[in-house]
Amino acid sequence: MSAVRAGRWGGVAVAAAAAALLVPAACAACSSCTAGRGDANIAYLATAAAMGSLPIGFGVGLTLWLRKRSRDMEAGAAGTSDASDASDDAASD
Amino acid sequence: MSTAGSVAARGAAAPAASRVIVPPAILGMLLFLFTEAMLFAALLAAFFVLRVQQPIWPPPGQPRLPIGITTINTLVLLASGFTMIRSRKALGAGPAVARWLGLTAALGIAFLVVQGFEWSRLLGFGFTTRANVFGATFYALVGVHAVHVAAAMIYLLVTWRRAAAGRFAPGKAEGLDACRMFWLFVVGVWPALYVLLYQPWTGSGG
Repeated sequence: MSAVRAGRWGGVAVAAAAAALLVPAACAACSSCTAGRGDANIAYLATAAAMGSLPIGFGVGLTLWLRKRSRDMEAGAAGTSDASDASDDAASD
Repeated sequence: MSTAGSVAARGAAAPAASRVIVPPAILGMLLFLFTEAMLFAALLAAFFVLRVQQPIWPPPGQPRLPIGITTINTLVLLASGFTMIRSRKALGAGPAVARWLGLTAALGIAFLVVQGFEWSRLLGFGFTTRANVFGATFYALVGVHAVHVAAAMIYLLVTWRRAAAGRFAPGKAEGLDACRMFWLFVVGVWPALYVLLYQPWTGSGG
């Protein structure tokens, strides 16, 4: 019962938010994107794109860097292991 | 054989060696610097958006920014980045690390003192955070950077003391590396702020 009521109120909230988007005066709260000036809109969109892509770039870059370091360490460990095996063989000979 | 027994047998045959891909101090500092980069990016984004909305930039009727002394101060901070890099390269050469770190700290303190002197003069001329949108963004950007330089300076002085006590050696210098990363970050951010806020060709200085 309460879930049904919550769902109903959620629908009302979504409908109210959608209706508010259609009212220009409410949208004027964002002075950057509704200033009506082309250069302001471009600056807003450019900074929004930069701010959105920056953390993704950091995350991807860090992941790739860690993976490369891990692979380099594995290759180094394998090389050391091969070298020690070869030296053991030489010692046994 | 039980699972636990087989695991124990494998563990006895080939003990798993723990691998440290990146020392925790370095990874922690890296993540911290990511957040710091986002902070400065947000402030710069606000600066760009506010600036574009102004019909005249910089707003009229404000004092000229001290470009000459700030240019010299920028060179001082860049020099401190060079001495910090030299301190890392001097690792294993006895007290040279502490000497280079001490020189770095001296240059950083000189930068902060000159910045404070500039601020006091600008405030005396009426260029405050409430003067106009340029004043607000100027003090926000330069102020946040100055706070970071001061924080990095405390870290640097602690690292300097540890270096003087011989705590660092080749292969055992994570603390020095983390300090170096932080310092080079604050050094690297400043030229961007300097060009945006002080240089005439960007419409802010002069």
